[in-house]
Amino acid sequence: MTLAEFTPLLPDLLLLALALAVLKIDLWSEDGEAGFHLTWIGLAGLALLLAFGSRSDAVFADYHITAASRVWKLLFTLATLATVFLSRPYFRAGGNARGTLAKSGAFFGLLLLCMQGMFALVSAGNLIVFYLGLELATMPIYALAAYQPRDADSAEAGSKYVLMGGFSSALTLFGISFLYGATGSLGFPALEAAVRAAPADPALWGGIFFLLGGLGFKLAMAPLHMWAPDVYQGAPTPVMAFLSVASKAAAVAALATLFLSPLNAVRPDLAPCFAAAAVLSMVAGNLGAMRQKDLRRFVAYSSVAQVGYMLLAMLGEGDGSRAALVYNLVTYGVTGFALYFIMGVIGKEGPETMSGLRGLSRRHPGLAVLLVLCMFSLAGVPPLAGFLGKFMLFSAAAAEGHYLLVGIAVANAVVSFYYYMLVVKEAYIAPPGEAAAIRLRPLQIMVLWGLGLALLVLGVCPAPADWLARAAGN
Amino acid sequence: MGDTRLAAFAWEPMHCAAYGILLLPLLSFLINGLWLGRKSARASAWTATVLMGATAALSIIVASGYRDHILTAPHLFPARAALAFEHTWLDFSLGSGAVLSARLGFYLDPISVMMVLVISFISFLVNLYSIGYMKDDAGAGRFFPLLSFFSFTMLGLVVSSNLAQTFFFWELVGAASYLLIGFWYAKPSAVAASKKAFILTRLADAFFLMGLLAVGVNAGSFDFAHLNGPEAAAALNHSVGAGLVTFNLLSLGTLGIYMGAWGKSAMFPFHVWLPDAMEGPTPVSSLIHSATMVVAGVYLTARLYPLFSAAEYTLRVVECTGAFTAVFAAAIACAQTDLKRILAFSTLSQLGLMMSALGTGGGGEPGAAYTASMFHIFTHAFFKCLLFLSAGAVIHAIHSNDIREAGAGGLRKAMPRTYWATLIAVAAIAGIWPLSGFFSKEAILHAALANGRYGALAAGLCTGALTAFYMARYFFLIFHGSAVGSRAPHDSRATHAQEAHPVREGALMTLPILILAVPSALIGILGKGFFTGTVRLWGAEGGASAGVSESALPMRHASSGSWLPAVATVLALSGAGIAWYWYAFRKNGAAFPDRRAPAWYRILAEKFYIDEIYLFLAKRVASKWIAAPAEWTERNIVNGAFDWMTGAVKRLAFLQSIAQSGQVQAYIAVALLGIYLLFRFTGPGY
Repeated sequence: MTLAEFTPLLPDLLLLALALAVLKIDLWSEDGEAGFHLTWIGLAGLALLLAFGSRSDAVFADYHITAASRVWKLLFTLATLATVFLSRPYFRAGGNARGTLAKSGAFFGLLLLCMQGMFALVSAGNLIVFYLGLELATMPIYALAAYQPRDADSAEAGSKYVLMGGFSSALTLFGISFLYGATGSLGFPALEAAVRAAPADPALWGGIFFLLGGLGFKLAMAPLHMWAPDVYQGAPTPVMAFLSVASKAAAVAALATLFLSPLNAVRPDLAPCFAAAAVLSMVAGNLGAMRQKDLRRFVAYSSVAQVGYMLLAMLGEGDGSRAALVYNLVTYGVTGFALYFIMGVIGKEGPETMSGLRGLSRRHPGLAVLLVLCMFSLAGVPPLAGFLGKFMLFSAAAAEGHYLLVGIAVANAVVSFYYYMLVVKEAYIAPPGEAAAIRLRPLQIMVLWGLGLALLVLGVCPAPADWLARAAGN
Repeated sequence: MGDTRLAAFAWEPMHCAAYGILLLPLLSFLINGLWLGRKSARASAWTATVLMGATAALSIIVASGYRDHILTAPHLFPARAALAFEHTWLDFSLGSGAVLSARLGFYLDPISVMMVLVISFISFLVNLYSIGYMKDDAGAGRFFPLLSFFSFTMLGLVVSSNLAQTFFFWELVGAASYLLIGFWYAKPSAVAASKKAFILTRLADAFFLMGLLAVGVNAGSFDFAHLNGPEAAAALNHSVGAGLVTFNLLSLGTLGIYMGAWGKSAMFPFHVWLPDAMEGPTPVSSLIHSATMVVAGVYLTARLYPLFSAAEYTLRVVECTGAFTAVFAAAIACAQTDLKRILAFSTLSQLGLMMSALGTGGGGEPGAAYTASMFHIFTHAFFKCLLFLSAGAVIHAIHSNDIREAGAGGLRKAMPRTYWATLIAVAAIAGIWPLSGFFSKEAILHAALANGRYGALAAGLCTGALTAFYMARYFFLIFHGSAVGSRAPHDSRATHAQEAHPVREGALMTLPILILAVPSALIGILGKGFFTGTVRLWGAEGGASAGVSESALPMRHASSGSWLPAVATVLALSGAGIAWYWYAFRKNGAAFPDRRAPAWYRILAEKFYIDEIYLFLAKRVASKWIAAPAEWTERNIVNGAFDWMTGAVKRLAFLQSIAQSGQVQAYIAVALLGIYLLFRFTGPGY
């Protein structure tokens, strides 16, 4: 093999180098600034490389570089980049009322290692690589969830995530062993052939359901979602953001990787299962979110509901579904991060709760407008990004004739509207305390403008959707 | 394939004008919203007004171009719809190879052109009026961009060439109205009203979305040109579902779409948001009630009318909801004391008339029904806008919404122009010949008669009598009333307010009122020919799908109902006469003071207690019987049961500190049970 043949693998290799460099840099840099700059510059470069770099596909044993995997990787990179920006004030003294985080180099290094796992996950060509990727994408979060120093909630979140993660890993591994027993192979092509040959093998179905259980944990899909509110609430906000966007995207990618290609032959038989899980997730998420006062807990439930909508895509046909999933993750990520940045801003002076939003319209009208955009987008109101995403998901399910399911989903969207409006109400109507006006740094203003514009552009202009559909669909 | 029914034409100025109609209001929104509105409220007001005036001028170009080059062009007959432009917006590949695409277009046909004219013209006048009305408001810089945005969304809605675009703008109209109704967001009642409007219409829109998907996916297209053709109705006309629950897809889809219209046009029982929407500034109310927002529902139903008229059941629903709302809202309007609320209920009632007119088309004469409804939308827009603008002038003058306080002010002398304009509008809505309302109401009654829908006919006549009564009451109490009644004359706040602000009719606010008085009076006579005469709204392409022959033309049945106008006029005059006797001659104030009010009056005044019922359902039933038990179950039964199962029953007091470790086990137990149940019930069944 010549060196040139490794070009498609360049992003993955660079990421590994970046992760190691960031882990080391803490030894030399006292204040952690160098680690931050190295990380974001590295990630931005990686994003450019993935978007505009080599387009050729390649196979390295069971590690496949495909166009679809590049799209997923770009998504993970952007989500991590946003997390890095979000976490900056949390490492500054006085940046957050909950306490300052320390050792930014280790924090960013762990994020990058996590990303490495996600990269492996979407490039997996057999179940072992798949499993290793999944594990690597999860383990750093055990530490990250407990990153808030001297904070019982955070420690609890970490330990809880360890327990649940361990359990889900066991399920996944158990499922993989069943699949191996049923098909006699671990490689995806052989797996696909075996599934097509004997789709009714009981061992196969046992494997599928255990695997689904393991992935369902990562996805926070009901009825496997119950850890999410506790962990989201206890973890530091940047980690919560990473969990709810990047980690969720990885779980969705894992689901799509498995069920839209090697296990595609049994997907029609799985439709009732996905439909039931979708309905459960929507209902559990929406009912749960209704009475939350803590914003991180609120995000947890709302993201459970979003998973429910996304599961609708698993009912549709391959290409359209993958496009709808990616598009939804993008819009959800943009909306989510806009909300998390607002949480970060109000978290500077007070707790990140509903009541912390009080009087936001007076303290900073622009932020309040952005908050309204976020909530409308999550509720799926045009012309915001969330609308188009929901529309794609619903039409994917409707095209397959699942009208009842679409009906339930639409009804849930209406219910969700109620609690999203409660957030808006806090910002605009609830009587403000004596809190002072909010002042933002130029970087923060830039990021918030960017996210706000993206919310609008993604909702009106379908070009990114087309591009993703073409890239992810092949 | 749908394109075969579209006239192919190329007349360049019209294309440019069509682009301009959408771009100018959007431009006004962007300029004023992002920049000018913060610099100078006054400059932003004038910019918005000038741009909206230009839009109105462009709409006249489009309308005349449309008439000359398409509608009356002999070589194009019978095609009467055309696309000024269309771009692909969204492509959905649906796996099975079928490509469903949503486009962004500018659809021209008689009703869209009519609506474009009405919306741009009325928006322009409302803008002009608002310059005076919002002069002293601190938020004026925010007001004008929103107003432009509102007009833009409504224009985009009426020119939509397909359902997906319609839905998109439909939701934008909802969002814009939310922002405008809640414009005074420091006022809790305004915020509550905007939330109510938004959430209720969203609820209805959920059904719309489902209907839209069901229709679009099965008919293979969202385009109106295709959906209104016979193939679409045939493709949809089959049953779906299994076992006991089967639906006709055509009925289900059209009913879903109609649900959207139901909410937007505030038909009973979705009507509760509209009266509360009065919390917005009066120019917003006038826009909402005349040309934008509420007529969108009627318009949508008309837009898909050929498809609807193939679905008999849906049309019957349209008819019943419309007729009921017409009478119901008119009855409530008789007992209200808030100026704007009376007008709001009158809008509800008139919308009900339009809807029921569309619904009567199931009787075999869809053309008559369709034209009558569109004719009424057209005339109603003018006189209702006039009513609101003059009501706004009165409110502006006396600083009160209470009709009883207005009566104290001797406004007839102080505001002569507003007085006469109101008189014209009141007579028009009451259906007095030769004013505009007479003709369109007559068309509606004739349509009901021609279709043999005697229930709708009776409802229409009854509504006519009630309308004449409450509008005359409105008029006499404001301009001929006295403070006697519930309020002691010496305690009248109005008098104080008037002393502080002597009543004046500002030129900028009076001008639009005077301009609007002209179409309110004359548009009926002038428009009669267009709507029901030689140039027909209802063409061959619609008739074909509904199985209607060319000879079934509207208004050819006038001979069979020549008694109808006479009866309607007698009813209207007697309604108005009673109001005159009661409120102007006997000077009865606002009818009953609270203590003496009989039960039926209280029920009317309290709007049949519908809001209270909703509140009860939402607060008590939903939160107490659904959300609270769900939460309780999750907290107590699910967690508790699994704590017990894992042998780790904790005391409630320690739950906060140590129960968490027990809960992880509970989570895992729930998860395992969940996986098992999923496998058991959705798996392949071993």
